[in-house]
Amino acid sequence: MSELFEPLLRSYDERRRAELVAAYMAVEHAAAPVPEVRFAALREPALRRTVEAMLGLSGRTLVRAATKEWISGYRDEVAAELAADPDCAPPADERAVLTLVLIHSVAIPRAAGLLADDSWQSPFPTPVEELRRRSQLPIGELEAALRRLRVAGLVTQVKAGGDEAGGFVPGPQFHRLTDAARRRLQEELILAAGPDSPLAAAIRARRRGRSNIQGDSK
Amino acid sequence: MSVDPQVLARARARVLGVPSITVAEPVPPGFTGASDGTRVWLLPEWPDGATPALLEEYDTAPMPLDRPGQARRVLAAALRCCWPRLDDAPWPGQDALVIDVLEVYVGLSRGDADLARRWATGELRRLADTGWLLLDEAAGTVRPGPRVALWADETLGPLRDLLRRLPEPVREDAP
Amino acid sequence: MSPTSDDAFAARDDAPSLDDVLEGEAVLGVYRQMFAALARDSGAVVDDPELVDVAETLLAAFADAGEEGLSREQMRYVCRRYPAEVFDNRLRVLKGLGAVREVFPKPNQLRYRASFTSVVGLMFVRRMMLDGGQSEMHRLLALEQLNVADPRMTPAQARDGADGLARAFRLWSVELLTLTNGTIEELREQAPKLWGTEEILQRAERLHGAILRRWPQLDRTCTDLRAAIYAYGDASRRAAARLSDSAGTTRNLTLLPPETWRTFARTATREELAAVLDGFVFDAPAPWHEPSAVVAAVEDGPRATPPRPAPPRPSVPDPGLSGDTGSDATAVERLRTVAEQVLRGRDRVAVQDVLDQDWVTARRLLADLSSVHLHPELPYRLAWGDGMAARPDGSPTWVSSGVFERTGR
Repeated sequence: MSELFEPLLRSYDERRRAELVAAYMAVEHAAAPVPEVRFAALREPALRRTVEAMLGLSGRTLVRAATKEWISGYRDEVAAELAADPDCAPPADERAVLTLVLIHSVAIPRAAGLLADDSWQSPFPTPVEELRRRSQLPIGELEAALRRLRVAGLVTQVKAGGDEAGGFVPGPQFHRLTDAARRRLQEELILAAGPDSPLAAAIRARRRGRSNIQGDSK
Repeated sequence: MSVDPQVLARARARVLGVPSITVAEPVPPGFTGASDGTRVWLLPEWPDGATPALLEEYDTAPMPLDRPGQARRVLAAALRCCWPRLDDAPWPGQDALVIDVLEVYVGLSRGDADLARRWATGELRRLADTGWLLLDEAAGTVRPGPRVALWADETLGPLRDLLRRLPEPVREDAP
Repeated sequence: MSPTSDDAFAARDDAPSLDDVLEGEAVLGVYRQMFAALARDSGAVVDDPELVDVAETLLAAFADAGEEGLSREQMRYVCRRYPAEVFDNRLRVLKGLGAVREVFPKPNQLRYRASFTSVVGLMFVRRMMLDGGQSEMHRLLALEQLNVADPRMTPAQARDGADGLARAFRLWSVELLTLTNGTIEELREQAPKLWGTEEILQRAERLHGAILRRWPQLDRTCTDLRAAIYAYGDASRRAAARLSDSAGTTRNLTLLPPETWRTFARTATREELAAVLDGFVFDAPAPWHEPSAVVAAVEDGPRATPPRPAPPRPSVPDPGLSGDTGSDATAVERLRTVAEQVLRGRDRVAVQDVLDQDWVTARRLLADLSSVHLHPELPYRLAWGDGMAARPDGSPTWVSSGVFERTGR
């Protein structure tokens, strides 16, 4: 019996206990957000709070996807601390390729008005040719980085078929970003690609304001 | 507003895969330690003996895996070689030669043997990256990875039977 | 883009798409705004996008025709897809306003030529539509900067120029502020055309400084201009702040044009690209290989010498995501078997009796029974009572009363 979870699970009967364990394992290991209709412990708010507490033991939290679908991700303050640890940051070549995939599969279709959902998932593959020929990344590095990103579920390969060109889209791990992390990803992309835009200025101003407040409280 | 160091350690382990410490260090709470006598690998602790296999019971797809069948056949071939005493637990097992593993895998596959060896080599690396095997490419050896210590003994019966049936590695250059 | 080409005609023979209609409306909107200052009454500007097309078709044909100009028959020919009365009406208006002039290269030969101004005007309208006048403002500021350095420039001209710019900035601010107080969708759509980049604001301030240095006596005008520039900067920031605060986690990506994204993706160094994901952490890959899945992979795998006939394969394509889960029919059959093993011929059993084994096995069984219960095609259900019994020595320590039973089907 797990000592870690016992204090949280002890008071439940075997049915609820099984439901809690099932929901916990599902949100931690599923490829995509799981529907709460299939997991009682996600459906009932009181049980859901216990699932949240179980996740909290490992610095994780529930992330709500569509209405009534859930998955888990790192709590924002935990992600911030981990990011300061150089062992935890993905290597620069992988991050660079991933940024390119986010731009071609999400930012550009979004700017062109082709994406309906407010999501980092996308049906528009980034063509490998685009990455190979029209980016500043060396080809050898690119292939290796794509392979590792694919194994980690950070990109998904879309096979070419019919008129559709193949390529890469953001992978299932992007389901696991909290709202705050998603918003920050959007901001980082805008700051990088349009540093001169009024929006970038507003983002910088707001971050200055926030760090001042935090500085005052210390 | 800093995070509880134990919580942070468990989150960090998920980012890193299966981190390890020396046997001299205490295993932090909330981990299952898998020791080979020198190092201890920190495995996640799951409630009530559940494993990610539970997802299947709920018709829920796990994180996608390229060519899962091939990966598992290579894992089986590796275990055939580095888990020789099948009545014991698979962890920590013992070192086996990579070339032996490749030959067992060739025996499990159809078609071009060289191609099969190449596929299997890539698969060995991925299994090592994900903690299912420990691969020493320089020495050409492989042994079970710490993740096999997560297998509950009562689920191992059919796997033991299977490995008993698998042929031993036969090397072309054997005397 | 020559509207006289066959392609253009072919495209226009189709019914107009929604985009065509919207674009037509947009052209008219800009036209109306641009010429409002000159209009005699609100009906003086055309209200049908097609009428703009006639003018554009004609002007393009004139450009191709060169100094010969066009005869009336040639004009009619290039406009043949428009009804005769529409064509006549447009020609009359264009002639009346001087956009098309009559010339007589030879006695008794009537030809027509187009005015350069009208063509430039149309180009201007198209640009205004694209960026709401941002690029015109850049041009204007650059021109004024040149003027200020021109020794022939008089203080009166400089004052007029500065006054005009101040007015433009004020109107821009008002429009932005109105939008900022409106719906977020409209703001998101319109703001990029209206708000000022750092560059425009800096240019305007440089110009303001240059005017003031050369003509200190214009300080009143310059104060006005400076106030207008600041107001505009402030309105831009407010619009941007509202957008960056707005809900949504990808929608603001639309605020940079696709070309800006593409340029960044193609020119950024590896370090610049990688920096975007600084501070993000992701899970290490951790696929799970259940012992039974390893067994199944070997038994179902291809073999050098198949020990038994290969099992029939379903002809459906690989689902891709999960190589693990069996087909739905197999899953249902497995659940039915589990249910019958638990019932052993009976119609109902107490859950606590069938769970009387080690907890891991019991939990799996319970999960199966829950799946059976939830499956619409399986005639069983799991019903729970309210009571709970303590089992201090048992595992788990609490058991609630429940039955697993057949339903009537």
